[in-house]
Amino acid sequence: MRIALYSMLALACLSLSAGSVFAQAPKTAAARQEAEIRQMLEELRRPPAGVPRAHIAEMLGECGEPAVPLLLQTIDDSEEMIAQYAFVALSRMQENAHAAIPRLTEIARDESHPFRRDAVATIALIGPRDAEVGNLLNELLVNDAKGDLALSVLHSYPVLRLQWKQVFVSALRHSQRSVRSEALMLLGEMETTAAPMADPVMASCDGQDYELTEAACRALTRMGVDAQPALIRLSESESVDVRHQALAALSRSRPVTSEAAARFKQAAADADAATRSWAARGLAPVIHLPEARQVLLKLTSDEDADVRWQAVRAIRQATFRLPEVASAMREAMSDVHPSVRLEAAVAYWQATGEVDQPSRVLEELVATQSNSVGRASTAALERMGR
Amino acid sequence: MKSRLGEVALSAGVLAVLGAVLWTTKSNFPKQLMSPASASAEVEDVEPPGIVDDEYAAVAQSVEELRESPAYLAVEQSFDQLRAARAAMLKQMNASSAESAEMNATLDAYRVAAEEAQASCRKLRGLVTAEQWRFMQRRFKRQLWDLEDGSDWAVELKLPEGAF
Repeated sequence: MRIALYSMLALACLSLSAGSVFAQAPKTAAARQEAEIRQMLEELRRPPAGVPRAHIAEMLGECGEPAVPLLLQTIDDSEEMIAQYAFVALSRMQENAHAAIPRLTEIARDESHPFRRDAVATIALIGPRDAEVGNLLNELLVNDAKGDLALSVLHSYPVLRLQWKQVFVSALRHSQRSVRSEALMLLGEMETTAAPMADPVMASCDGQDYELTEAACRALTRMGVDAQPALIRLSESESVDVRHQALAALSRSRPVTSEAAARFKQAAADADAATRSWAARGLAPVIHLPEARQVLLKLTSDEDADVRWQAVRAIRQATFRLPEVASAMREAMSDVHPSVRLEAAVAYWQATGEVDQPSRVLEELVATQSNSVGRASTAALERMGR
Repeated sequence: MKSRLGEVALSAGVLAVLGAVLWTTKSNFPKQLMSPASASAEVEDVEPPGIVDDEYAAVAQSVEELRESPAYLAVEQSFDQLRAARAAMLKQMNASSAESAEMNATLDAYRVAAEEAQASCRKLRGLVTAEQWRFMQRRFKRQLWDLEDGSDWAVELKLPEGAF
């Protein structure tokens, strides 16, 4: 009986003691992990010989959620370099650092905080698939009047899977010119991937800023054929600068679609001479099409010398013989402008193989023109064997 | 003399507008290009930002081809006329009184030449791509700086730096 009683007491103590051990186990593990994180943070401040800080930051990142509070403290308390490594560690955690977003948002909104741009980049890396994070970044961009934070948001676009378009739309409307300019440059670099952004890019062209109009047209050209409709609409702008630059971009965009060719044909009848000149340039690559050729031939007798020069030049640059253009080139060889006569003489020679008449024109130009036309005429005569 | 300088200042104002046309894209140029002091051979070696090597060579080549265009020739011709009109005006300034008919005629000729140069630059800008225009701007700016050489009139009139 006594033995049974002792046995029961021993079992009870054992179970009590075991209970206490099991209850304390998680606490001990958490404490151990926290100690390890603190140790790593200390090593981040004073790294052991041969261990780069970047490596320690990566290890901290692998600790995941438990390291977030201590890393946030490190951002607030430490010297600049250590704080930046804390951002690296949080970025490395990606979704596991979600708990850091509220504090990082505070930092990003604090205009005097030295690490607000690091905070933005870290937020983007923590929640690339998170719609809320995308909205937050967009809000930071829109509300940043100075533009420096907006640029940081913009540069985070490669990791924003869901909201990159929204961020770019906001950037293209931003009050700071530098943000709009950067957005256009980045969209150009994205090439065809950015084609869905063609309409917002088009809408950003108001004709007030020559450089931005150029950047927009350049981006649209790089977006490829899917952006051509936007370029065509821009080429119909009331602003002459926008019209010229859009037509210039359209003339470089390949392939020349039937819509683009139709726009150039329409531009060939524009009241503005430069627009007609761009039409001639745009039709040059499709000179093999009878309709395009017809328009170009008509432009060789335009009232403006630059339009005539561009049209004759387009015909001259054709890589195959065009016998039906001979009569127009013969006429152009007696043009009032020496530049047109030069182009026409070479085009006529190329189209017919005849040397006498064009060489007479070129010799006259050599004799009378001491400028680049005279020099080019000499070179043309040499090519003709004269 | 004061009134004569006033007249020249007016002409210089027109030239400043021409400078503004040429300087439309100055913000995209490196800082050293914005000072007349850097109008040296070194300027040629500075690559405009935003244009990568192959593209740079292609644009340079296309600009050379455009030198035969009527619009480009018109700009060069207008600069020649501007140079001649300026020389005539300076000569007249030394030879006659400020209010003389000859002086007024040379001032008018100078003003007209400056306006024509401005108009020819505007026309050319519409006929070329933005990249080509940047190349041409640098060349034209050097030519206009040349126009300033040999006289301190720009300094006397305190023309704003970068107007050319």
